[in-house]
Amino acid sequence: MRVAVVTPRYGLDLGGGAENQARGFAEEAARLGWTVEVWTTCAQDHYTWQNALPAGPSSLNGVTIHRFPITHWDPSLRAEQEQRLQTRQHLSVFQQYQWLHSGPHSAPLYRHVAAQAAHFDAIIMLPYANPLVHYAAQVVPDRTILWPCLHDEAYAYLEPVRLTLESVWGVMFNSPEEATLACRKLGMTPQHHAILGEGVLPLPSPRITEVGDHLLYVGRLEEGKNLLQLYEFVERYNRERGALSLTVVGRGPLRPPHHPAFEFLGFVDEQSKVDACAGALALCQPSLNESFSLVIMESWLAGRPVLVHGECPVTRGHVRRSKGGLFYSTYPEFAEAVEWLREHPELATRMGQNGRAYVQKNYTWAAVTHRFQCLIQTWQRPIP
Amino acid sequence: MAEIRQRIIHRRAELGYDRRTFPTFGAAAYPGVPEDMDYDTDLYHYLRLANETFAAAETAPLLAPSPATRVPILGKVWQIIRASAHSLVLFYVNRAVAHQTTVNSHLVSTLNRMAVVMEQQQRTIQTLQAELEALRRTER
Repeated sequence: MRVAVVTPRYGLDLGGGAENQARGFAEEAARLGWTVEVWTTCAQDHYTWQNALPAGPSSLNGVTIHRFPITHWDPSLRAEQEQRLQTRQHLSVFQQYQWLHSGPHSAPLYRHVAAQAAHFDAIIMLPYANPLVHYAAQVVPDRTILWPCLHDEAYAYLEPVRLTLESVWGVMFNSPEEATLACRKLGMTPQHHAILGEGVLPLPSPRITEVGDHLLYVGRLEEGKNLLQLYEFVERYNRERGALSLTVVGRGPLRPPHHPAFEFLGFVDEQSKVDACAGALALCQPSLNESFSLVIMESWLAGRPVLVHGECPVTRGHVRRSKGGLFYSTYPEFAEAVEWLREHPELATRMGQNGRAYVQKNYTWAAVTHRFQCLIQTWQRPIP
Repeated sequence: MAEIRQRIIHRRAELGYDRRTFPTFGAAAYPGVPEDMDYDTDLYHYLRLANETFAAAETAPLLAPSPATRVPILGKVWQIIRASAHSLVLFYVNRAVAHQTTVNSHLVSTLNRMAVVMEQQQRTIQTLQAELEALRRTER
């Protein structure tokens, strides 16, 4: 199998979910002995898009990387459209394409895609919320497989996004709910599509065995993660029902309030994160908008159940299929779910085990690459 | 780059996007003034302004220097205390503003949809009026 991966940024410690997804896939493909190349830019920072890394070939964990400089980038035009998107304003078709044309773009990368694509079975491109991916996809639509990581957010409704999804060879979704968003809610009609899922890297074994009585949040501390509601629910629980603490792990502007119910750990290393997961009553994922949610998988791998927001179709879908946790939409549901987990520690542990089995069966990188091989074979087969 | 743009234009035409309407995110979008009928200019003027301004809210801390903040050492301490007080207020104000923006968004969406429905009804009325006129002429 010969596969190329096109992604705007690539490397260690970039922090983005899609970037980690691209790296996990490429490294597993290399481990399997496939020919795999990553075509990316010299940028590291997704705000400035400065060419921080040298252009040319390099290698990381067995994967060959070709980096190309960003050549077109109009930050003021981009900021104008971004502001409209973030404040839910209407963008005319012209403005939607301005968002696409404002960049970042890399003309040498597009030339490379055009020249080299024929030597590969498939060119995987991700994520969808970056203009570079859409330009690259239009260079070789017949060989492009888009792995969009689609969220129910303003970008997903842009016409250029629809154009790419409906033009490329195929689209791979991370969950059935993401496919439903694209094909039912947005009414997109990709030429081929399949549920691939994402891989979860094996985690170190937890150093602790004792489970605490607190909730855990791991992730970016941003408003988009619906964190304010979680803070509010925890405070209210403390006022109305008694002590409940929330340990918060991650970076971002929305730190927890100064209140004895909250313990803020900041950014921690992998081992500490596993320990935090293994020692919590449950991991709480309050986000309403996830395309996969790695952190709930990590909590399950650590053997603990999860508490997710019922209005997020993706995380609720994972919980329903795995029987690995509970979901809530309102404060009374949240409070009852916490009470139930506290009163039924054995069942809570069993939920964690269900979740672990679900991840190990469906979301190891080996399982993902196997599904990828199968879908390529199916899509390559001529339609009778 | 120019070639890719051309491909995009070509592909867009091929898929007939000009003749299709697609779902919009969150708020129902401002419909724009109707081109094929008379309309109330004030209605569309204020509707456009409502769409442009419903989410605009000034919630950044406003910490202008004052004579007290220029006092050596104590001034800096005072500035830190002021900044903390402003941040605390903003934490709660931002929550209220976020809620109000959501409400505004729903209200503006409702108005946008009502404008679209009114346009559709107006077109239906015009069609029916034309049919009625034709029937009257036949009767005469």
